[in-house]
Amino acid sequence: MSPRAAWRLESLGFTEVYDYVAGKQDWLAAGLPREGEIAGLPRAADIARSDVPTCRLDERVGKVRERVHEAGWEECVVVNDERIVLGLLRAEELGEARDDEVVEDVMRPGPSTFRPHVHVEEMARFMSRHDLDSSPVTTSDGVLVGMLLRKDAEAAAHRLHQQFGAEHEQG
Amino acid sequence: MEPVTMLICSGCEKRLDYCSCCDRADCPAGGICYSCLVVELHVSLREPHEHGG
Repeated sequence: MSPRAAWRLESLGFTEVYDYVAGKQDWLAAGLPREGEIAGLPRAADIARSDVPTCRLDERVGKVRERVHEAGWEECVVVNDERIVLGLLRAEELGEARDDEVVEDVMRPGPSTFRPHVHVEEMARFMSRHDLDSSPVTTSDGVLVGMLLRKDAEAAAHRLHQQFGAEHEQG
Repeated sequence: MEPVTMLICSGCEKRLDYCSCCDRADCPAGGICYSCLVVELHVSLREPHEHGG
């Protein structure tokens, strides 16, 4: 559809038309601007914490643990130079590994990640059902956007319900 | 001998080694496969278009 839509727009007089070949879902997943009736609803990227600590595969756990705790976190995302998510160090790994162990040897490789455009209500529902306290949010290319905390998703979903409730009452 | 627990995808009932949502082999929700997870989260559609677009 999109190539024909692009040609049609040009026929209508638009002079700068591009066909985003990767598709709408990829556009949304990259956190690019969106419009429409539900565009304003909060998404995972809106509340994901971008200040989540990160580390490299070859770092020593001791140093990473120190840095993570100093930042007030209990988990760390393992990334490469392009900020692609390669693994995860949750509290269990950080707590149990020896100081001299290498991150790559103790991390959880290839963790589940979520896309930035997923609605917070959906995220809250899934995280609650699966008893998941946090999850990395990445683009379709695997680039880290931030860490979504279940408490943040549930609070955002709650605010949304209150907002819609109030609007419904006002008619 | 411990009983063998097995995850079954809540969407397609496929047998799973671990849940694609929480990465656990003992998922409290019973497990979901990646294909069904992305559909449930509206990241993907099971059958996007019957027509050619």
